[in-house]
Amino acid sequence: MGDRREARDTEFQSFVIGRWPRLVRTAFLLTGEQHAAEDLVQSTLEQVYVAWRKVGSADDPEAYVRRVMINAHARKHRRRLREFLAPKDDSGLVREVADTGDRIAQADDRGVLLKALAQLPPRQREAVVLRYWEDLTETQAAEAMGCSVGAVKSNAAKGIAKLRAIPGLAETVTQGGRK
Amino acid sequence: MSADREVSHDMTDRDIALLLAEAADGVEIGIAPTQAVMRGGRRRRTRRWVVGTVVALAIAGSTGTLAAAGLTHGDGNSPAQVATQPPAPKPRHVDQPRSSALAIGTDHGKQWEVDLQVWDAPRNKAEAEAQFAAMALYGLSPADASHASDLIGKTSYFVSRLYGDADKSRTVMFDTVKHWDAMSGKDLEAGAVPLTGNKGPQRLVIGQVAKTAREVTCRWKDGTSTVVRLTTDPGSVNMGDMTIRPADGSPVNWFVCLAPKDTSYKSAEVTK
Repeated sequence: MGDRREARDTEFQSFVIGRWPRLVRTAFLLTGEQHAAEDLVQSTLEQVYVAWRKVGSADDPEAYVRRVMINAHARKHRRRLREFLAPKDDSGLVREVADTGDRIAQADDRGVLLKALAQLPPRQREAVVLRYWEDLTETQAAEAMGCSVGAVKSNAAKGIAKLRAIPGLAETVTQGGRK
Repeated sequence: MSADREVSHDMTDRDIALLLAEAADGVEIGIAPTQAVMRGGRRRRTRRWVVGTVVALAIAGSTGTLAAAGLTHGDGNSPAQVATQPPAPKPRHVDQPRSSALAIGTDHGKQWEVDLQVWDAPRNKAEAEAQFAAMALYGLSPADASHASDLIGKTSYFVSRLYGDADKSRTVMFDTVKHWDAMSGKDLEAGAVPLTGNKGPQRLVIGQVAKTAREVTCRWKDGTSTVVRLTTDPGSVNMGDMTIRPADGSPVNWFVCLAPKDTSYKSAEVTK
């Protein structure tokens, strides 16, 4: 019994180490803030650990993880409290990468995108992130968000339309890279 | 550049994906905190009643213990002399919690809130599975329930704490029980946690008392105390009011005290 638990823990550790970077990046796009992203992922993985015996043997453990994380993210929006939005002027990405002109430009562009994302309602942001960053199908995104495929389509379409309408955002992209 | 954008500066889906990828690349990725995650997971799995770093638990009363007496959730077993009644029971939906705000306040300009969710006991496997999935939607892991079927016949409750615009609602107390502990007289069960984060003075005290309790005194380590009284308005929670109040689905009343800055919890007792 103890050996089995140890084996499960080892398996879980490998899972966490392997998925941590990607999960943090996804959480960052959802929350717009590094520490909030790490908190969201850590909290998510704690819940996954509790159910690991079941989750670890599932066909697609990542689907479960995504669902827990999206729901944890969605939950706070039911609370009417403000969340962290885009990085503030005095912290975050701009300051972190201000060592060369090119990197400053990149950080500025990221800031524009993050602010644009932050302006989206949570469900639209989740749909956009899952579809266009996680590259999930509409069905997978619907599973993660606990809603219908139609709702994913609608939220993603509205979110994308709003992003396209943000002044300056279109200017930050070029074909295959940056302007 | 796509033809569309050449004309109108519209972004293609690929452009959006590219921007997202660039933004995501800007995150500093540290080492995965596997040990912390596992510790946190074990705490979630095993810790009942109060979740926090160091917890303070007080059980008081004429008998010194809380006797289980077969109370079930929301069964209206409140004594006849109870001054207030909980809101009328809602229709049975085991996949939706009954939620009640216990207290809302501000601290250093930041809003905080303590909420209680009570999940009715599922009667069968289908209901339990629906509830288990719904709890996952809320990011909740019931105590001692690794399978949905573990929830059958049991009520679950979760007390969560929110502070400021921190991107997180933290469960600070939870349990899944077949029967709520019966409380009477001066019985009191309370836990203290920091108002924010996991460290710092345990200023936030949350507890259960009997329906008959009219006053609770929270004492702090600096020698001061705070008195909370039974609310006269169970239907609403006013900003800054610390009260004893009923909660939807709970057969006991709840109270919240907040210690002044720079001190922390010492004890709590029913004083009337």
